[in-house]
Amino acid sequence: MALWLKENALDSDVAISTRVRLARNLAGIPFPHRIAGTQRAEQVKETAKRAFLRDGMDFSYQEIRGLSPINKTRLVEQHIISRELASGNEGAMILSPDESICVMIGEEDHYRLQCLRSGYDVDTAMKMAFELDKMLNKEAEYAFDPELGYLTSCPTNVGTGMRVSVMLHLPGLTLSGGIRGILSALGNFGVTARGCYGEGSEAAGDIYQISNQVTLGVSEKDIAKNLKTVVSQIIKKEREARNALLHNQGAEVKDRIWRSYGLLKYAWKMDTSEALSCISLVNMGVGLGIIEANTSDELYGLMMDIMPGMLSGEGRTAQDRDVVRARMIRNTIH
Amino acid sequence: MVCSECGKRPATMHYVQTVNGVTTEKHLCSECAAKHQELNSLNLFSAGDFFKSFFDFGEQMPAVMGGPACKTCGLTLGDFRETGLLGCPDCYSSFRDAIIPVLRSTHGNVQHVGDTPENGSEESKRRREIEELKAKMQKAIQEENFEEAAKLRDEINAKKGEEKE
Repeated sequence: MALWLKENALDSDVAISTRVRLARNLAGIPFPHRIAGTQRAEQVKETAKRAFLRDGMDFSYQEIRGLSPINKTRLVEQHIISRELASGNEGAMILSPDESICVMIGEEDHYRLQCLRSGYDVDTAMKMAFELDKMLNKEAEYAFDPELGYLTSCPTNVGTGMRVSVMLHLPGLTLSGGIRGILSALGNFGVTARGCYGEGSEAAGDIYQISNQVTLGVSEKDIAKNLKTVVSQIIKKEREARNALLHNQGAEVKDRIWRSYGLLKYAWKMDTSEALSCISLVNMGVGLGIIEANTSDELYGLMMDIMPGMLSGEGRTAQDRDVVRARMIRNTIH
Repeated sequence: MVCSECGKRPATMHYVQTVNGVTTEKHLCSECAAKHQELNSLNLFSAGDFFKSFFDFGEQMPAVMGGPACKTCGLTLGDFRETGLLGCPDCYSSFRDAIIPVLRSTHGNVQHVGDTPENGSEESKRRREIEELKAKMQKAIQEENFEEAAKLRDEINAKKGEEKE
């Protein structure tokens, strides 16, 4: 299970995780895609090492090219590094022991300072991210413009360079159909949502990532405040939707939850999308007190562990994976 | 209420945006609303595609597209249009006139109001200067310009001396 997932996190019946990412670049040095393989790319890495690999600090440094394919996949599927960083050979990362802190080096920007928290905890994630920022800024002169703020490779991140995301589990709003109205209203608040798993607009496992859209012309504090207002409302609506479903269609909802539980506990093979939707319903059942099974953090961890990349052993076909997945689930669900 | 954009069909989407105290209001029909990226809740566009469409002026702006490259990194607006990524921090000044409208359409506002960096200690600035001099020295050696390389070596040593003091 992902090390950064913790028990008893805030609002963990609905919120899986909170992430804050700061994009930072060194002054006077071209962005990573223009300096691949040069001495300047090394300079970017050395600066980060000086800032973070000090006595008394428990960070470890790792070049991406030194990671095994399965390890790369694990890091991506547990949301610790981006797919983009993992797919290149040039980058590197600095990790805390529980992997909740990750400095991605040489992704789209020289640095992406990332803090992950279990549950809904924007304030702590932000505080941690700005501590990293201070540490790095002691060694690094940032590319900064008084008018445009922190300069980034892609203009969509310029300004604060800050992206706050909360990953939410919304089966109640999905089943009741309320999710559509909420998603279409989000744009009005400068906030976007996307399905976390699945292609296009499909959100497998009913998991959505809610993030701020605007990074320029708004302060860090206001970005966080705005996002928190929206996310708190969604969490409230999700709980209302779950209770309303239980109240109005109790037998139907309980039946779906218990059927899902039965499948997870006894199925011999299971594909990713079926597994995600069953775990999603069981987690809702746990939140509503309908069923006694694993805790939410265990179920969220299971969702990440059953992704195809994590189960791809050598010579394993999709069908083999489905069997391995089902066995893993049977051994985890109690 | 009729759509404020086409003035024909009835307005079904009412859109209010407040950025830094400036409120803009739009009342749109579903057809005109579909044209607005900011009304689309699932903004599943890639930055590259987005900028591609933004700079898709066709025949109208050949001068800009073939225009000068960034003096620091050599990126052209055409490269930016392809990837959606700028080449270096200086691209923001090299292409300011082209970038500001993009920023305005993405963020709504083009004045940073967030944190300002302390921006490195004297120590880190000196170290950066030394790194830059070293790179220049390497280049000079490769080009067999030993006189220049020796000059740079002295400069590096002088900077290192400052460090010790």
